[in-house]
Amino acid sequence: MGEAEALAHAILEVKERIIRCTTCNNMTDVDPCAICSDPRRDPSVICVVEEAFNIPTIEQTRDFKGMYHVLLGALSPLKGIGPQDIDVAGLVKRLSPGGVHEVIVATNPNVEGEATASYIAQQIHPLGIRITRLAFGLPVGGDLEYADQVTMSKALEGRREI
Amino acid sequence: MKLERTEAIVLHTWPSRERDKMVVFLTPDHGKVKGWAYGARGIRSRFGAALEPLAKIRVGYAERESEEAVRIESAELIRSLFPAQQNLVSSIAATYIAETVDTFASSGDPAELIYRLLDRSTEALLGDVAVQSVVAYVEVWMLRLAGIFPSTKNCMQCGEPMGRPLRFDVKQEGFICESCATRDAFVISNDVADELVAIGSTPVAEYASRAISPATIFEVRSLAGSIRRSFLGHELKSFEVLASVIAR
Ligand SMILES: [Zn+2]
Ligand SMILES: [Zn+2]
Repeated sequence: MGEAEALAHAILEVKERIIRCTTCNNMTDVDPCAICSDPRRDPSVICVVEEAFNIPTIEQTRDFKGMYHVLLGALSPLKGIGPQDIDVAGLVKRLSPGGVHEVIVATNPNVEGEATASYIAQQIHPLGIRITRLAFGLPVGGDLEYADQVTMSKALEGRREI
Repeated sequence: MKLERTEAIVLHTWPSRERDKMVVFLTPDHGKVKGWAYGARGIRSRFGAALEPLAKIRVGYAERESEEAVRIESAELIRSLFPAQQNLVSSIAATYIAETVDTFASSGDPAELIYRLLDRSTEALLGDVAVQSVVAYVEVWMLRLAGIFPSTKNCMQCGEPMGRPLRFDVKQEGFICESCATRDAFVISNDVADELVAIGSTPVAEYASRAISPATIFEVRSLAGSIRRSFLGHELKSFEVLASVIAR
């Protein structure tokens, strides 16, 4: 086998091994994924993200110890992606047995992410579970002077006690 | 390289390359303009929320010889639609309005009336209005401004003035008088005909704050939809998604 061929085989093998976690939709080689099967993690908090590649960004902080749910996209009317095309049903199903007391919505801070968050809130509110949205902060290293009205008002909304 | 500074409303953006955005915006004097916003995807981008869909902005851009897309130099927010876009139905409706305008407005030519329609209708969404009425208003007016909406005054066949009830010929996509009407014509209810008149003579914010029965608005939208689809040969991409959130 030539080097190029070996590489092609290796890539193919990796691709074949990568599956979706049937619990949270994360990309994984074992099902359930390492996060879902980790007994040290807190199953009472679920953080909702648009894509599996958003998980490492949150994991990097080491501040979040709960579980995840990957929506596999965001509402995107111009691409014809509506409520039925993202996995909110899977999330609601995970919530119905009880035991989850907070859902953190970490969709992108843009128009599509907000519409998605609004849809999730609409679906979860009847269950009476606390639902929070990631704060839209001011970028660290930026200057207040340059924050526009949207960023500033969202930052005000997300303020906390010090 | 020519520098332009103008008011504009963002219609549509999409990510391009690692950190850039492609932005299509509508200007009163130059119609639709497509431009690169370099670095706009960065979390610390100097453009902030100014290049989000439906933002009303003051934009500075440079036209480059022999290139289709301009280079966006600056964009300051005049009015953000974000407060309305945090509501599911308003957000999807705003996207649908933007797609409607994007589909019918052309590049290069002045588009003052279309600009005003987009400006006033998106501003209306920030207030306490019936979202479906704003949508119907835009659907009808966009077809009017594009010269596609048929006359409701004179018969398309014989040119004679028409009385009530109006009749719509589905094959010919136009209003037709009683004597010219064939089996392809159906009667438009007077309620729907009244709404067409009101849409033509009322500012959008005022129109959308009146109480109108959902059934009547649905019929107005169906009529506009039939004319639009027969002209375009297809439906707008966000139409179904809007229908699915309105139905909830
Ligand atoms: Zn998992
Ligand atoms: Zn006639």
